[in-house]
Amino acid sequence: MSLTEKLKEYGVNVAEALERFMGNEAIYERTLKKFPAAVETHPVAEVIKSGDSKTAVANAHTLKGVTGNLSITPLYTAYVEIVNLLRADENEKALAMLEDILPLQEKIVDCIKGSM
Amino acid sequence: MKQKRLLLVDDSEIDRSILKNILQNDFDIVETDNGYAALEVILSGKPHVDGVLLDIFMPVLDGFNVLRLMQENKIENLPVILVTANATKPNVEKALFYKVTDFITKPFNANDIADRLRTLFSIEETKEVVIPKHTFSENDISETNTYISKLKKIFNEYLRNSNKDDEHYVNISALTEILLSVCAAEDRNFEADSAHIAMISKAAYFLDIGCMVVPDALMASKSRRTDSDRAIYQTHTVAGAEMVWLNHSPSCRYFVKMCGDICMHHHERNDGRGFPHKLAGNDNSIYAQVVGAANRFDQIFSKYMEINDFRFDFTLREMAVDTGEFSPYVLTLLDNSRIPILSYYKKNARKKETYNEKKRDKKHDK
Repeated sequence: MSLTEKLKEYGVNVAEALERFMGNEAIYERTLKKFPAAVETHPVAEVIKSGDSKTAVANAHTLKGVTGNLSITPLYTAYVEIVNLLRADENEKALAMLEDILPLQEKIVDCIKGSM
Repeated sequence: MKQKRLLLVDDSEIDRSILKNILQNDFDIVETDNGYAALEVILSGKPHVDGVLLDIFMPVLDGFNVLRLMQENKIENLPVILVTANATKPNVEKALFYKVTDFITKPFNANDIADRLRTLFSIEETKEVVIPKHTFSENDISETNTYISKLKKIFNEYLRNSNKDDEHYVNISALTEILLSVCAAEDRNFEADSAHIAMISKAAYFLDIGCMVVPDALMASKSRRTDSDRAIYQTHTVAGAEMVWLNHSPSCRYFVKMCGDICMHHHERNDGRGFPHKLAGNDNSIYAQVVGAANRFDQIFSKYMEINDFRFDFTLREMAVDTGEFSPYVLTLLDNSRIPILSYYKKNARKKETYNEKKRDKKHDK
């Protein structure tokens, strides 16, 4: 099964993403492979726990943009809400929401890493 | 028809690569991952860009601060398209204040972006961005000198802690002044006069200030650098420029611009294989090229005791071995500056000798 087929099972909207990549699946896959590094370099949960709200908003905002552009829809929907919560200083709610989606994020990251 | 060139500014590599994929058929693309580097491209015009796609939300210097600094530097007529995942009312109002040309929202709609930019750049004949010719007021000079003293204190402290003196940097500064003065004498249209050359030469002293962020062990290591060591070492160019650019005072603008350019681009190569931006030929400023050459010249020439034509020629030959590193123009400029350069090194050697003699005499008296 190809990477995009597998990701569809996790709710990734591959058709929408391919429109953004002008139908070029190879470039889409290549860009998807940058997602694990983006997640690693933009930690959100740890930063919220450390009390650094500014960096938490910045990192969540970056992941919101990235997940949106890669059409990782379930994560994008969550990050939209997480950014709003963090901006409203609702850090605990943001953390709870983040912890709900982290297992899915890990699965998606593992799936991408497995294809590298 | 020559393609228009767009500058993509976004800290997210993924978002940049998606935009690049959408636009690369219609435009030449230059990328930067932060506001400071973008500003450096815009202010220096190296390379010239016809429009900017600017992410709002970036660490350190966000899109609105880039717009503010562009406005302060009187950069007008350069179309800026803001890119954001957060098109809120305050953001739109701020964008209107800075008269941005358009908005792109994330997630991207590829067809919409391509259509809008194609339309924008076919109907809008981009006017050349002109950076106003800079003159210095007394206040500019005094404030810049204060800033230089502060930078010098920080840099010298770093050198002391690394058991180094600043002789190499003093030499680079002097060589830069000599080379640019010869350049100005040879070329009537050369844009820098003696006041500018003096300022650029002072800026040249700080070319390696970014080494402060490179681990000491890596700087001191005599063994061959691994790829990862090299990548870390190369960050000193960007780090140095970012450090210098932290000064936003309009009085220091010229020094900050030139010093940032020098820190950022003194390791570019004429063949475009240098770092960090792989600028080839005159896409790199003549100032950064001259400082890069001064740096290498002093590294080779200062190793030897003899200060004579033979050693000078040897140094030039060494610099020309790697044919892609320096432009023939810069090598000729060095050759044409032979007399003042040799006289500078001789004067320095005499000074050193007198100092050492006095030191010996004092010791002997004791």
